[in-house]
Amino acid sequence: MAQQKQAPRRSLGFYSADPSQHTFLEDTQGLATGALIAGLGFYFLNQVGLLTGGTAGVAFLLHYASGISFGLLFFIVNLPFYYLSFRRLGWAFSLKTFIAIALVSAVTEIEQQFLLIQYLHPGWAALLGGLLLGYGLLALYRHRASLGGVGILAIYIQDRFGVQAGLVQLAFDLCVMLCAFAVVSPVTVAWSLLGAVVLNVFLAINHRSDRYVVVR
Amino acid sequence: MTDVSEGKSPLGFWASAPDRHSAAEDAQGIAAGSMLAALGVTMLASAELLIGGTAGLGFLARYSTGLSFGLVFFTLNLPFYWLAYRRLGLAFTVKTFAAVALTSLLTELLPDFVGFGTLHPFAAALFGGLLIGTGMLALFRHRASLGGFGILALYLQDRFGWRAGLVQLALDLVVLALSFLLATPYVIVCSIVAAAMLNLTLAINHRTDRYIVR
Repeated sequence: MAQQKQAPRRSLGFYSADPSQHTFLEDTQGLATGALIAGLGFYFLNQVGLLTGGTAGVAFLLHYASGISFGLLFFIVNLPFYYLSFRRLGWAFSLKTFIAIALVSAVTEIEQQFLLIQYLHPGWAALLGGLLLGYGLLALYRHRASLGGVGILAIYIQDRFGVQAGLVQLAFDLCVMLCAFAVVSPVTVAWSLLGAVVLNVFLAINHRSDRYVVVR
Repeated sequence: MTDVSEGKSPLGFWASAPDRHSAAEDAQGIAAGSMLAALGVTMLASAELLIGGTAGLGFLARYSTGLSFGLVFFTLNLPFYWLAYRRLGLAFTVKTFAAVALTSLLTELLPDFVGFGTLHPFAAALFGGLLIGTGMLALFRHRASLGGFGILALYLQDRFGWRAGLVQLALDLVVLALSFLLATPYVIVCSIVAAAMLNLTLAINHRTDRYIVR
């Protein structure tokens, strides 16, 4: 494994000479990396019937209730939020988020043809799935993209009705987890909570714009 | 390492200075990086792919003699810690030891809990290379590594004036030449894809001017 590499050469035009900006190619690999890793995280959760929060949680609920594929549902559930996203967070963020969600949906669909998991312990699925989703989301956040709508909706509700965005998001995720009792076993809900904790602790520790200094 | 004097962090968990990691932050960074790398290694191993460095020697031992990858990887890295301590300091050495030990342990444990039934070699290369690359990126950003040839190469450059990059290239070529004796051309092509994913992820993303923690 190549370690202790020299600092990358900047002369190829691939790397941004300015540390505070990503080039188009850097954003492309950031989105691809984040989507591939998050897609693998969703795949792990899906294998053992776990859920997560946000629009992905809604997609998982519908998937377990109806049997329609997760990737398709995840793509559809996120569609209404792009208008808000476009209005509030600009076209670059909305476009990158759309691409990330489309990639994640496609990856989780295609994966089952190339990557069959024979057995997977729910605890490890929660731990690894939470970590993979956290890492994928961190990459997307750092490249100014996301995986969907509830956060955007929460900010909108905060502005419009004065309800704190964090509380809106928490309430939404609690509703998803409550609904989860209807479609999966209580043990599965407990493992899902573990996965959600891993994901959010990982993001809370690592998503700091004063440390990863890219501004756009 | 922990600096909470500015009081931005009521819990003392987050370092308030953006250019420093607290001990807890380093611990989660090393845990996360090792887990991702171990998952990547498990995927490569499931599809019987190959890789460079001391991990490559671990794979070679596994495929040719049936020894466990984790044990060989852990043992092969032991001689390098003294060099690492001399050249790169105590903190780097301790963190690297922790990362190598955790990665070795997890690659032993993971197959009991995650079993890949069908794993297309190309998918294994794509995801495995990406996961090892992102895992190593997390370790590098927390001033740790997965040990091995890089440290030796730095030492040889100092001692004998050999270029570290060339030494590392030569060592990797030896590992790959040995690997090619065992592998089919298809496995070799997929292994090259994995190596490209791994090293591109590092080359593009490991920039100390962007992730500014020293």
